[in-house]
Amino acid sequence: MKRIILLLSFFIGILMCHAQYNKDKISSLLTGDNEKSWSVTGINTERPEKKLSFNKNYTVQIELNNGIIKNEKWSLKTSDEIRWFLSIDNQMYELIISYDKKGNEYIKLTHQAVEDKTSGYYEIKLNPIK
Amino acid sequence: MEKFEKFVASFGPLIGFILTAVGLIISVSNFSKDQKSKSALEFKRDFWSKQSDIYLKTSQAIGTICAEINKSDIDDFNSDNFLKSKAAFESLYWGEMNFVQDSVVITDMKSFDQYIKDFNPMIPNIDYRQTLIRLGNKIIITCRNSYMKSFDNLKVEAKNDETSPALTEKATTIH
Repeated sequence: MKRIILLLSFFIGILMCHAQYNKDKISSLLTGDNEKSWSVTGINTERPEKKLSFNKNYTVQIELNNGIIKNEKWSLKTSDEIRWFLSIDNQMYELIISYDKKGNEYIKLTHQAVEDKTSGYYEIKLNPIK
Repeated sequence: MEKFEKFVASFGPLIGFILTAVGLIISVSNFSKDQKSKSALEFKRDFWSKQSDIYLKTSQAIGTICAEINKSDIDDFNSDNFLKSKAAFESLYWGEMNFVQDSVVITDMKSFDQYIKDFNPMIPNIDYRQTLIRLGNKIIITCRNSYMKSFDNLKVEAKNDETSPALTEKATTIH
């Protein structure tokens, strides 16, 4: 019994060590099986984008509010494997995975233009389109 | 010889006075320089002590938040504890941390703030929880490194100025 508990705690320990978001997990969250669409809501800003569709081939289709559709590239970057940055069309956002009160997963993208807490700062909320 | 004696008799007191005055001026200037560098060092020590207090308070708030997040059973989650520490953390992030102006810590704190802003304890997702905990630990380590770095800078300055027994005593306690 003791051995089983020891072995179990060892496996849980290993699981806990590796449990965190990584590039593969975030990529599959963004793209789903192959392509996944997200509705865009500006939290403290008006955003021209209406919908973003991320594809596994690192392309993103951006549908604007005026109906224009653009195709851009996306990529994920990190320096510490903890904080993740999403780059879309040379624009860098910090990607934060979050949950609303009902437990629905969403993505928060924060953009900081300058090294300041307030100026040039905005947030975008991405909700999955089912 | 007579001329020299005459010269000494008439100008001796004046020369003596000038030499005393010059000596006095040099002593006063040295004393004032010493006082200035001492008060500058005192100010730095005081700032370092305030900085360490802010880092410690930040680490304590993050520690409590992470301890609550680490609880996998929702019944064990202490909402009051979490909310109190979250408020303490946010107040440090928007207030006292700006006093220290540590950009590395502030950037990570911004990210942590975003995560805890709408942390949902009902979500058992281990990646979600562990990312937050790792980010919290990273901030604590960065705080510690910044604290040690500023202490080392202070030590170097103190060494240049004088050997401070109080500082050496603190150093032995830290290491």
